[in-house]
Amino acid sequence: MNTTRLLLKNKKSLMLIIGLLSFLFSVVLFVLLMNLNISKIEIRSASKLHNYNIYKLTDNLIGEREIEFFNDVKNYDILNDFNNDVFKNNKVVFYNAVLQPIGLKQYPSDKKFSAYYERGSTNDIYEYEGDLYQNTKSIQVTKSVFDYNVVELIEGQPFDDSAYVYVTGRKEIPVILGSDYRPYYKLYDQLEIHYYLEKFVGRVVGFAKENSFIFTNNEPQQVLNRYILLPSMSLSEQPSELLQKTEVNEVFFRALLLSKMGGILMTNLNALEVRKEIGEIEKVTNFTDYQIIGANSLAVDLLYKMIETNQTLIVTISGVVFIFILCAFYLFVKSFIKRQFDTYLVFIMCGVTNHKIKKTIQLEFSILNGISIGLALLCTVLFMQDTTILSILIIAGFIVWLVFNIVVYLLVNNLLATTNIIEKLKGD
Amino acid sequence: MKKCIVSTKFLLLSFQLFTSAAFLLYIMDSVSYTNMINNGYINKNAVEFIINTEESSLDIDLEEPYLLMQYKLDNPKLKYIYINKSVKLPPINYNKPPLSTDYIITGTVFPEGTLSKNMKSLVIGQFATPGSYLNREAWYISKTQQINLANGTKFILNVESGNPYKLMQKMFPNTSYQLLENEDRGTAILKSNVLLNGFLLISVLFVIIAQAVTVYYSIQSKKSIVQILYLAGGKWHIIFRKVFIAEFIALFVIMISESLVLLAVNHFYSIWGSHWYYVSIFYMFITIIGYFLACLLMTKSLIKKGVRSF
Repeated sequence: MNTTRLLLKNKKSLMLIIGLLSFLFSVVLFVLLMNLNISKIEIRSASKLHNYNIYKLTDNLIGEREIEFFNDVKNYDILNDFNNDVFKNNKVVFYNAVLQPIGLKQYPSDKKFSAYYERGSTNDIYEYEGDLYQNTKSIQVTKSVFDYNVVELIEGQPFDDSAYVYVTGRKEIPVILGSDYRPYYKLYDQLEIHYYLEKFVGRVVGFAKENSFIFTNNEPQQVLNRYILLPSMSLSEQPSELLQKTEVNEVFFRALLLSKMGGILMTNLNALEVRKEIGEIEKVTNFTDYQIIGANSLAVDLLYKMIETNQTLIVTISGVVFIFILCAFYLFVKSFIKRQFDTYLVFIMCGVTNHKIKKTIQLEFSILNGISIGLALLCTVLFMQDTTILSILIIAGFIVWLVFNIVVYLLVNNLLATTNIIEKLKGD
Repeated sequence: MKKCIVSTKFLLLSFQLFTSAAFLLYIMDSVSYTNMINNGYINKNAVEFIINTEESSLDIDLEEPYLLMQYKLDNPKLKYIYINKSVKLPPINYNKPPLSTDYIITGTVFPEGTLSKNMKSLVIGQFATPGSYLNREAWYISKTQQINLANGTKFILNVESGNPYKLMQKMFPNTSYQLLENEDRGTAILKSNVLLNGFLLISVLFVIIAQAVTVYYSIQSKKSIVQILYLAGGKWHIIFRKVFIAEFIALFVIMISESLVLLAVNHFYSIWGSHWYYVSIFYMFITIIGYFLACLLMTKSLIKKGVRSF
């Protein structure tokens, strides 16, 4: 024990340096593994969209035709039935992300949240029933939007199933805010919103992470930082009944039904099959004023190509840099052991056995590397706040520790076997 | 006794670490450049603004490198481009050699049917940028330095280095404009891409620490010879010169030759700006200066200790 203590003495700086390099090496490895996992999730999410045939469902209710259609209250129900049947159809995934400005009463001073900021508009404020509102960027999303995009929240929860249903007398809508709203609002704050001519309270249930984006029909990446996300609501009862029961403006139901309809159909069916499938719904519901526009998959193709290019970039760069760091780390460990060898020779001269020296070096590196790997794992997980591949990281850390021990064992054995100790001690 | 002491191992290791640092910095800038291409050739430092003026045209008179995009608010896919000659364009597959007059480059999925007949005749190539927003755009590359505001009032200014706001003020000194806060798109906002930069930064830190360790051990290995030379009656500046000067010269030679190689790389495999090149040179220079000062301090402190012990 005394010999071991003596052997380990006076090498504090050396141990610190090896520990630090081992720590950095482990961090590099863990970050690399985490990043490969993130990249895999991104490509999987884009693949889901990419593998589908995409069709756009739109209505023909424009101008006079719209007025005429909604003159008959029964037609509200027909459109509602059509929407619900399309949504429930198990051969198509109905995906809807509608960019639709809403009025916001407690609007932030920063103009970037204003609906037409990017178009240079400086005044999006309007008055409604004595209150001032700002036309604010907003997107209504169906549940499938969260299923087919990686939208992570900094805090809060995604919308629950009840959020997507409008029930009589409902005055509160859950909202998820983009990350740029964080300085202005807190979780569970209540926002007064003006949505399709109706006043609602928007309860903040979450904040999306910075640069979260979703795919929309026109944009491969709609960045959510400046947006308010609302659930795209279906109606709990037939609109004709709701119109009788409530004092809600009919424009609200009309807008809700029309915005709900104009979405994307994602399916494995071909154009003919999808038309046939929706045709069946048309027969059942008697709604004929719609169009299915052929697959416009340019946006999704671009998104997929972009993510694919990014993954190639990540794998190539990470691979090359990791191999380089691995070689550099090996060379440094080798040179440190060689450097310390003269000290060990003095101990051999004093009667310490080769076996004891080997054991001490191994013990020293093993403990030091174990601590460094452990610390690196802790720091990486805490900093990234991601434990999805914790088990893989622990296994990787253990493998690195094991390989490191084997390398040190081989290096020391090789050095002791190839060094002529007598000549070395003589100074030749 | 040898006239000078040079550790070839130290020099070789320094050379490798200089190269590694430059390689990592180049990779970091390449990732940024790839992100810029995928974001429709809009740099992360680009300035977005809308010009409000009664004038029908504006003149640009600048020596600095820049790339100015102009477009209509309702047609952002057709962009008018004004560049300083030295600025790098995105990868393009030319069908004809670039003209000395105005020409158009289109994206692979840009609907050419939306261009007028005159404009169609100016198309001479396509962007070779798979996975970029450029694929959806067409660039009208203008050879004049006069901006016709009928082509749009929205602008994006890309600069290779320096403050883009200052350049914008210099470009339009007496014109009223509204600055817009722009947002990134493309690969730059992918979480894995952001983390890749973190990964590269940690790798650079690894190289810096490895460099510091190399310098530390190199100095440690020369301690004994400095002590012996001092005990033999040498003066500190003679000892310093004998022990270290050749190594400094060798390090400077390495730095200069490496700078030339990096300059060639920057020329043949150029990316947006030369930021990585200047940082690499700065890194090598700082390392050598750091090594010089550390050696100087070590020699002085050892001699001081020596004086005390006798």
